[in-house]
Amino acid sequence: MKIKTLKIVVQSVAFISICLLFWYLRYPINNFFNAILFFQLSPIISIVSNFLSIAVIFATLLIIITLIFGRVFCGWICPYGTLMDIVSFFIGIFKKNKENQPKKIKFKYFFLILLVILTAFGLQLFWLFEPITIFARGFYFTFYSIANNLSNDFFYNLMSNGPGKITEGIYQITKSTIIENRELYFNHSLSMLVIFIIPLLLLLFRRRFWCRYICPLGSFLAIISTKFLLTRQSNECLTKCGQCKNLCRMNAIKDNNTYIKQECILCMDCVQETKCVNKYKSKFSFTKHIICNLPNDNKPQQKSGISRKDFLSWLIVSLGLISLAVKNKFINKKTNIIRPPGILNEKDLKLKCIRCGNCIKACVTNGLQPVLLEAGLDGIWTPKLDAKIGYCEYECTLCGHVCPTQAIKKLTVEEKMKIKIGIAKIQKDTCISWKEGLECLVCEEHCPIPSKAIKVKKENINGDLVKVPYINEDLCIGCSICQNKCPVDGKKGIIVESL
Amino acid sequence: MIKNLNELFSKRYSRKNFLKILSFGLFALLLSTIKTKKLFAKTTKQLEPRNKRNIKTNYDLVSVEGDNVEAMTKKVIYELGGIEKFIKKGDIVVVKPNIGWNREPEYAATTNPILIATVVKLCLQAGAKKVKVFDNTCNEEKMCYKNSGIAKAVKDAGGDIYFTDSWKYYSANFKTDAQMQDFPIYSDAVNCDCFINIPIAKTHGHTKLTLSIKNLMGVCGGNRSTMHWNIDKKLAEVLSFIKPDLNIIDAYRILLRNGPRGGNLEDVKKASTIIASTDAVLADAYASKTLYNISPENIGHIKESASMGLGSMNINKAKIKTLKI
Repeated sequence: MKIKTLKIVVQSVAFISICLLFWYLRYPINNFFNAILFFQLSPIISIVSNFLSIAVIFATLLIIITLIFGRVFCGWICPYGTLMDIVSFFIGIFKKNKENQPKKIKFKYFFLILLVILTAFGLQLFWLFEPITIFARGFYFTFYSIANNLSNDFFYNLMSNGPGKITEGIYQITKSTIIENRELYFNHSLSMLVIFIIPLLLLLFRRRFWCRYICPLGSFLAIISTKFLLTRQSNECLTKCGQCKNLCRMNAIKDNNTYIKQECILCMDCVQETKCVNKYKSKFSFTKHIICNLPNDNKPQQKSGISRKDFLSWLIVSLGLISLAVKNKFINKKTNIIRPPGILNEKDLKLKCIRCGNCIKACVTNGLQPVLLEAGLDGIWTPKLDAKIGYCEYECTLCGHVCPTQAIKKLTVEEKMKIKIGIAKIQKDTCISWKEGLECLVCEEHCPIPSKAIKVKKENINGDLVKVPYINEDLCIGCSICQNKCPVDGKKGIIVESL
Repeated sequence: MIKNLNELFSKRYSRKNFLKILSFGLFALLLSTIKTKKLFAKTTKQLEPRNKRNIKTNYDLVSVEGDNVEAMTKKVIYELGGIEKFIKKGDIVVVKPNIGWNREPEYAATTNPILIATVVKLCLQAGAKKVKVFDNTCNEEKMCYKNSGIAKAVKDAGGDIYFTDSWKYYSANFKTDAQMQDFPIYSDAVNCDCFINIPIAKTHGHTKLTLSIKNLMGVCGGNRSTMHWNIDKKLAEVLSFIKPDLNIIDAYRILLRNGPRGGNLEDVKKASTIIASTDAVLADAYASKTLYNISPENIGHIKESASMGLGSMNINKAKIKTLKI
């Protein structure tokens, strides 16, 4: 098998299996083999999670692989990279690729360093640029929710006319294996889609634009892969036909047919035999790289590094951001939102949360929703409990179990039952029992606390003795099921407020 | 195709070309907005009330005390006259347990899985074509089905257990003056030959007790919380609509306080009883009197159902057999 074919096979298998892992990140979760393992491969996750031991183990695995084989993760495994390859394949039909002489140092390294420094100062921006989480958000909140809702809608309409034997059979199987038996709704999924689409649109200018110039994960792997053992051999080729240079999707090959090692993602583009004019195709092997000395290569070396102007502008932007972070200008904003259980404080959450959306997607009641600006600029897409859509299931600890950075702590059921996330308040102006004297007590029925945080007393309302609910604030944990199930239209009769 | 597209894109965007692409895109967008619902227009179906089988049992009500749930279940049905009285060959049977809450069976918030499994097995032995088990749960359905142990027990016994689907709720045709008129009811609960209602005895903040009549709330869909307003009348109407053929009250473990959800093992009492009757009102009246010592007249929905003529709540008149095994 040709190496290029092998690469394509591996890439598609990896892409499909990662998508499946992401797809099945939901309630009956497999504790050993799930999507979190994949998230924790990324060294960025382990930086963000303050070197969480399990994340470090997986990140070390990836680092070892990178030290031996180079950036195979970027070229062969990364799902976002695969998606980019697919998109640029279609763009490539209409467009010829021509590459320039590569610059030696690219901005992405400075960018990575900037992000790391900012994280150290308490402003974590990796969530906006980490490729796996960008892909996961796009997958969860656009692809998964649309696919799930459309198929639910389709079956709903199909079955409403009277279920046939075959259609019902198909539906039962689909329901139990592929789709969920509920409509999913996610707030602000459009903003996530925009961030997901922009790197794909950049492919119109260059193949793998994101990977070349921005990707922090890629640049991290590039920094450690300067000395990897697998090397490209092209010493026999003495021509400067420029084919290899134009083939390379990472713009790693120079005019003189040598290449920048850390930029190579082993995509095997340059190994294509058919396009090489002189049939001196490149090879990758574990031997020392021999640089070919072209006879007429006497041109002065291209200036490496970045210009003074660029450096200064970067310095100013970095210093500005760092000073903002230090001044806590937009952190520590007082928030009035209910966070899922297992979050210690806002600052910790914003620092650790990578916004992968795992908790939001896995939440069994669909109650966890991303916020947009309610928690401040640095709190975009962090999870909150939205009682309008769902509630916090009393004996469920799923959100902590699917968090790759442990921004939401992994709790046992006993621990979780004691954690207060909010407090319910009876709204006496809307509660139908308090206002109109109609007995209801739905909130009391649903209250999951064993000795009921919502108690019942008899009160004289409009001349009648009526059973009305009131709240024992010591017992209430703010799970919001009372607000979610309250039958009053409009403003609910019981509303959960943050602590 | 690709060649044409190639030409289209290789040219610089002239105004004409741009408009072409734009109109094409808009047309595609327009097509995508036509809702699938219009393609498959929904026929408005109304559910008619279920017909109860006229079954004469040996006793009006049988109550068995004991320690072995399986043996007690078999005994209680045997004393009524055997499962063959209720189920004919080829019947489609619906077993409606209480799977409302995400709690383990020990907390007595959900029906005992062994009891359900035994009933399912008996039905299948009597020649039932299909035994369907479902409930419209209050908590998340996957967790309720799993943690209550009922999903596994029914599957092992050979019954069909499934989650309720939104498209199977049809608006029900009660009487025009009924408060529940046009309320969505799960169609499987009505389109069946035999309906077996298996509640668990629990307290309830609003209706005092939740027994077989209250358990029928699990076949209702829509915004069920609104049923809590004037619940007595509404529950009686649901009972008149479903008319279960057999009610088996699981009182092996009962909840004494903090119902219907429970959570404290101290609130659970082992009453070790199973009560069965074809008359839901009688079963409830008997259970409330013997298990909780509450007179059935004090429980709104039992009184309302009796006054609507759906059953008798006069325990003294009924032919009752109690035994111990």
